Amino acid sequence: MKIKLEILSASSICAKQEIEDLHTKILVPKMVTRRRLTRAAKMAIYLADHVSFTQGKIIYGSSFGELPATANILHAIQKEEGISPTHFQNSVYNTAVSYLSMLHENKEEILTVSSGDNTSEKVLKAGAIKALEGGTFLLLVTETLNIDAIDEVNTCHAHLESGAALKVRLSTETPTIDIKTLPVDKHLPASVQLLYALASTIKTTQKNIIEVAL
Amino acid sequence: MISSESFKQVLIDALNLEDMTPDDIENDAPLFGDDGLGLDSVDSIELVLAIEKEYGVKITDSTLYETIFSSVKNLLAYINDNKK
Amino acid sequence: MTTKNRVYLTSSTSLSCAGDSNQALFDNVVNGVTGIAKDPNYFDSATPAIGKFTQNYNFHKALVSQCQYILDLCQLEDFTDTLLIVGSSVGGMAETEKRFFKDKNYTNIDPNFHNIHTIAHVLKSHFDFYDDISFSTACTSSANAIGYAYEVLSKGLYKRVLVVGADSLTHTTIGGFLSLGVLSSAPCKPFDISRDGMNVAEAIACLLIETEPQQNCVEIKGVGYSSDAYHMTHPHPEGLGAISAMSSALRAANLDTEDIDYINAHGTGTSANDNAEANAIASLFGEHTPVSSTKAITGHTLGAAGALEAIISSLVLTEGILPQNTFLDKAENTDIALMKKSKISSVSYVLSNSFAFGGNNCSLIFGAVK
Repeated sequence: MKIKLEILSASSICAKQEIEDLHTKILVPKMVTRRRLTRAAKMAIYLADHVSFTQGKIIYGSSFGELPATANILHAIQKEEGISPTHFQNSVYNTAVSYLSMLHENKEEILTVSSGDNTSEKVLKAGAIKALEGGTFLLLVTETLNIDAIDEVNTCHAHLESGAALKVRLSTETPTIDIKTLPVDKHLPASVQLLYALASTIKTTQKNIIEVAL
Repeated sequence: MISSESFKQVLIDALNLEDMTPDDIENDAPLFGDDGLGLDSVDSIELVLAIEKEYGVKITDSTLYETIFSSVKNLLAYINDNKK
Repeated sequence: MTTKNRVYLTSSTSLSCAGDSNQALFDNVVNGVTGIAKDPNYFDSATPAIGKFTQNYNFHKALVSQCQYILDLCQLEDFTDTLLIVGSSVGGMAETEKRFFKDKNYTNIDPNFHNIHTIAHVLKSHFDFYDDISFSTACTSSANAIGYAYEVLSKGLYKRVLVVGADSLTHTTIGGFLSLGVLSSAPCKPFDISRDGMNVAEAIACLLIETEPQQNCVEIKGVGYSSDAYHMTHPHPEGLGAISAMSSALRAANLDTEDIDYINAHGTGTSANDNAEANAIASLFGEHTPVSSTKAITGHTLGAAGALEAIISSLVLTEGILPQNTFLDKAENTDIALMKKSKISSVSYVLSNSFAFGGNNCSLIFGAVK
């Protein structure tokens, strides 16, 4: 089964260590909310803003989720110190999109995918399936690996922070982008490569239609 | 005796109150709810953790929260009274 | 998209602190025999009551053997035409913790055995699946997995689905909930006025979902999703998100509130959840519909809860018994029909709730197949 999606707008960001300005102060003016945001949450908010998305279903993906919060908790346990409840509440894989939903009072369905290296592909498949119900919605991936001593396990990712967002809807038109032959940036985590490549490839001068094979 | 200024900085750091300085926090202002700093129940737990770590003062009776946490002044008084 | 297949839960199997089989699980749920016990082994500073498997299973081997059991039960040769959908909140974290606490560094942590994908990774090394996808939305993970299975099968997009809800006990989750002050040191008392918290528990629950009915199956009638958009750990006090999810599920199933014979509540035993959920149920169902939480017996199995409680809900339908709220003494909310004793009853439709951190909500409706 193949399902076609139109990409209405897209955005992507990455950095070797830390993305510099995510416009968080402007996008989240209330400090008591802003101070709790994880890096992934700030990236999700930035990306959603760039594709002008506030209301609707969200399919989100991350292979390693909230690694910084997770690492904090592990260290606290190992040192027999108290676990920060903020870090614990921020350690679930759906943290970033939960904060996004709170910011926009978006009460729609939000699904979080975590399928390792194939996370982007699975977000796309889930998105294509959900698109059959109609409407415009957001596909989003982030990976935030910037923790102390990450080099002890990281042997391949040159970019420790990366993310991409696509605002999409169902399409019946002829595809203009071939997912199968789209070149991807191998310096990014495998989990974000496909959506990042799509976000970087779209043209503003024509329709951007892809075909997703289930 | 812990000074008001140094305690407010501990509070700011523990609760990640961005861009705030000790001067921005009034001694009598309520900590919780929209009238004050706008903190919530997760913040109360973070504060208890930070106070134990920084000053060695344990706040184990959660029924005391309402009085102790009613203002910075009251919280600091409690810490100074109970610090060893 | 016009295909609208009917969708059936045809086979299932489970491991939890309440039993090594579905039958043991349901017997204990109905008879009020809890699997929750105090455990001092995780933290020196506290002794929370948690739900451990009845034996010291190797988690990965248990995952494989449970899925093999499904193959044996339904006489399928293999899973080659089956989509695997995993719902988990901790994935391989227990293994990561073991290595990190021993080494005090990350060097021996294998990323393939750390994150959520670990579950699918382990299963795919033993079975061939048509494809796989893993969801992680904290305590709604496997409920969302079942909802997705319902959607894809009703649309005729896949032939068959295996949902695996799985979460192991970890220091992270036990310590994390301890830090939030929401763990009880006794089996929980959902909806009771003196409830003092939840019990973290582990479980593996496997569900085979298909478009053809089999003997002793139940139908998945509909699913409803919503987001509270309110707070990371507190649900909206009036249960607005829960109301929305339950209402959506009823609409999807083409049913009214009066059609529901029993609600298996999320009912964790925390002050916040049970209050909000009771308000939501009262608002939609009033005193009309019997309600219980079964977490006093199974504990809160986090990412596996949706799947484990779907199994309980299916047994409510096939056995015709409504499970009690074990340990309920005095209900906080008297506007809903909380049963203190299990009851034999003719059951046509059951609604099962799961609510999670970040305000993620999922309600599922199951129907008897006569």
